[in-house]
Amino acid sequence: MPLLVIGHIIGTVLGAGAATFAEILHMRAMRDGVIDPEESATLKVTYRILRIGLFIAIITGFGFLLYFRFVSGHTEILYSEKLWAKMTIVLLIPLNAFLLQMRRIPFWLGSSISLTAWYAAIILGVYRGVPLSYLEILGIFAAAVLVMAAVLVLIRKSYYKIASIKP
Amino acid sequence: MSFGFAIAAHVILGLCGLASSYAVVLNLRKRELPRGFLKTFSLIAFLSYAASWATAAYYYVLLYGKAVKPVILAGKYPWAHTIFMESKEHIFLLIPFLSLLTAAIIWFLGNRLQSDESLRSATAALALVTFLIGVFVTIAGVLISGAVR
Amino acid sequence: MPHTRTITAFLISGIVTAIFIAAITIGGELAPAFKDWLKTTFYHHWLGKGALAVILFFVLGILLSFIAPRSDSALASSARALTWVSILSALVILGFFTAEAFHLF
Repeated sequence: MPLLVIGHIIGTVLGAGAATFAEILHMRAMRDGVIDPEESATLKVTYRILRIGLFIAIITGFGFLLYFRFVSGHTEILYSEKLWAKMTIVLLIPLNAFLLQMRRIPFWLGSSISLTAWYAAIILGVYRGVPLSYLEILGIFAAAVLVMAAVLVLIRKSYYKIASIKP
Repeated sequence: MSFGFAIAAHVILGLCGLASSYAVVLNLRKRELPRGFLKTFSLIAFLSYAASWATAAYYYVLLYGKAVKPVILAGKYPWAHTIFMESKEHIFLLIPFLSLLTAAIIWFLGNRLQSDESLRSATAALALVTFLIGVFVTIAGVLISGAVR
Repeated sequence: MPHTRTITAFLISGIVTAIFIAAITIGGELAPAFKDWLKTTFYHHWLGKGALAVILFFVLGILLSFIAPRSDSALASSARALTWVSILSALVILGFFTAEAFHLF
């Protein structure tokens, strides 16, 4: 069990950290409107770390489910609404990445979903007793995505303004 | 092989297959196709699914029917077996063929994928449907396990 | 190109196999005697369905490789058709067991 916890934390740290830095690096790269080869290479490495983190987090996450089923016998956890909300949000991460790559969703929405999903998964993982239903959690998540999108747009606007003023 | 080990192997191998199918889908959409990467991960996908099938068979045939199924059917969530296990065990049968054919296209016609957009998108669609069916199978597995009380 | 024809053949075989999987699944539930035959012949009905699907896929694929179209467009079309047939097969199987669980027939 401790190994699973450590592995899950490592996966989450890598994934959430990489998602955060991907956003920062993308913003920085786009200050001149063009992503040059060096910036693109750095972003590629960041996305690779993100996917490795996601894979580790998912494998260890399922390790927990196997532990609950075959070791501790607490199978009722597998029907917890908090768990299902977390799994739904985590599933959104690769689906969102696919839609972003296919240019089926706008960047402002895709980047917001990615960041919000990682931090929502962390919050849901840390809090033991979340007294909310599956739909309530997803409703709050959807609202958080929109708030995050607005915050990111504001940050980008002020950053590009400062970047354009600097000599 | 213990049943616990078999089911753990089944889950982990299935997830490796899913991750590999997903990697194939994403990389088929790149401007410059990484052929070596695609060959490696399409093969890993097929082998992972095949091994997941074998370990599932060991658990399902020798234990599930006599020791787990009656518990689920007698419990609060009998639909976990009647709908999700019954569907999962049959829908899963599609996956090895889909992943084998995806790998075959990449391995034997990989040189055409760069220039033939129609073939490339058709192959990506195959890998994507493999991934989506695999996601359903995984979710069903969680529902089934959770019904064993 | 020999690979084009062979892979097209196996894609078509995959389409037939996907339909077969749905058919044998439903057939096994509606005809208990057939399910019993699978159990007797293959030790377990699910093993039997898997074995028959594998046999069908490879035998049909090999046979079709002598007559399958050689064109690139047929190859891509077959792959797309297999995608759709697989989705439909999965939905039919899920729909069948859901309907059966709710005693809709």
